[in-house]
Amino acid sequence: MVAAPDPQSDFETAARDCRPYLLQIAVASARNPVDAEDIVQEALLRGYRGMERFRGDCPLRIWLSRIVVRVAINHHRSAARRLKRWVFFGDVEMEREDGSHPEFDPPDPLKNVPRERLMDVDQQVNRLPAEFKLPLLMLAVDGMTIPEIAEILEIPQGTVKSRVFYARKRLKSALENKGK
Amino acid sequence: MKVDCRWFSTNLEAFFCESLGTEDFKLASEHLQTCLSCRKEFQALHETDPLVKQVLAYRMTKARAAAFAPRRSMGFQLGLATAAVALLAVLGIVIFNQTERPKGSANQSAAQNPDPSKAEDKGEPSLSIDRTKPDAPDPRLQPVKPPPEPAISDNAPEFQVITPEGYSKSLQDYRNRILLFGVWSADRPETSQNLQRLYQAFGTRRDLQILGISSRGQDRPAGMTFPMVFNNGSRLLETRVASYAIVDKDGRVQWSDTLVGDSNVLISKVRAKLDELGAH
Repeated sequence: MVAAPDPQSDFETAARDCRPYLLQIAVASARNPVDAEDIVQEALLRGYRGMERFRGDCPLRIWLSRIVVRVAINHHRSAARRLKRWVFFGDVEMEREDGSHPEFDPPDPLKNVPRERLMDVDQQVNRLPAEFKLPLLMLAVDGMTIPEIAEILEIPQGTVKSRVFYARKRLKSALENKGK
Repeated sequence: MKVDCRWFSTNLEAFFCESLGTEDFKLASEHLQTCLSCRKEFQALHETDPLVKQVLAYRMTKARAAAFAPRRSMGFQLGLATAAVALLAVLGIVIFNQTERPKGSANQSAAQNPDPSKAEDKGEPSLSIDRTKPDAPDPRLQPVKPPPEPAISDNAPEFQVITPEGYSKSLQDYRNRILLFGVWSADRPETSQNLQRLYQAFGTRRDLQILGISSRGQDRPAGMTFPMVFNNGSRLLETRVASYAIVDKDGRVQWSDTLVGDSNVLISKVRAKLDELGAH
């Protein structure tokens, strides 16, 4: 006799597996990366509650990614959430200097690019319109492809390519102007 | 079809998005192989990719740091806010005290040098009610701060004045009369008062012209009726402020003295001099 699959434990397993991936999506989608953890948490909660609406026509991580993007877009509208937690610069610096963490080991951002340059680029990326910024940053997520972005954002692949093209073009000219 | 840089630039987006037809895609690829400038432009678009990847990594680091940053309790946040308010209040008080310091130091000096007459009355209760502030100085007793004395150069004219109507006068204009002029100053009220007494005593003499000269552009004090003129940058025959001079009909200074002192003595001196010069 085969035991019936437990949907709760299945979801937990899937959520644990794709959590780093979802965190990257949240970082790409959120206005402030500080909110990314909260966004993922809320998206997982919503996904768990709305599990019966998952039709199985796409991978679970794509379905959860869609929720992450929607939550991220709406997240900044809630002032209460923005004030929920204060993050101090000292904490950020300390964590960055500490380096690795068991759950996630991000590449050292200061390895290749000077910190000032990185902050400049980050600022210019933030200035891009949301519809351009999102595909551009999502394409930088490890293993992310144009078809996957199109599936998550629910837009045609050609639109994704076009937006990525214009995002790169704008970013390039913005950085050139900044350098002059 | 001519494939040049313009054509490639027009179709760059389509080439980038892989939406060009097979033939066009092939032509564009060939052009890219041969044209250096187009290749640079195309590569420049791709050069942003590693930067964007770094930006994402940078953001991930921030997100991670925030996730593992110690969460501050509400009490801590309230404490921090209270400390900020207290700091602002202290800063405000310090700034306020700095702006009030001149007045405060004046009060302090007054407290250190109390009026002796008040000290004598200290033990007796006063029946009158003094509604003025004890430390506030009486504005009536404050001397009027005069404007600075205008600098007069060595080559300035000997005597040149301007009437309140705006006419310029020199010694030539008073040649046929004996001239008595005094240089008064508003910060020394006795100078104008003595000049007024002289005018009242000798103003009716036909051969005499009395002038009160203001060397600092000050207007005549209230109650004074002597003819007033303003010095127009002249040396006033070397007559200083708070002094007077008597000039004969030929323009020579016959007498010069101070305007300060007992008015009766002053009048008697001037009378003797005017009688000597024949001013009737």
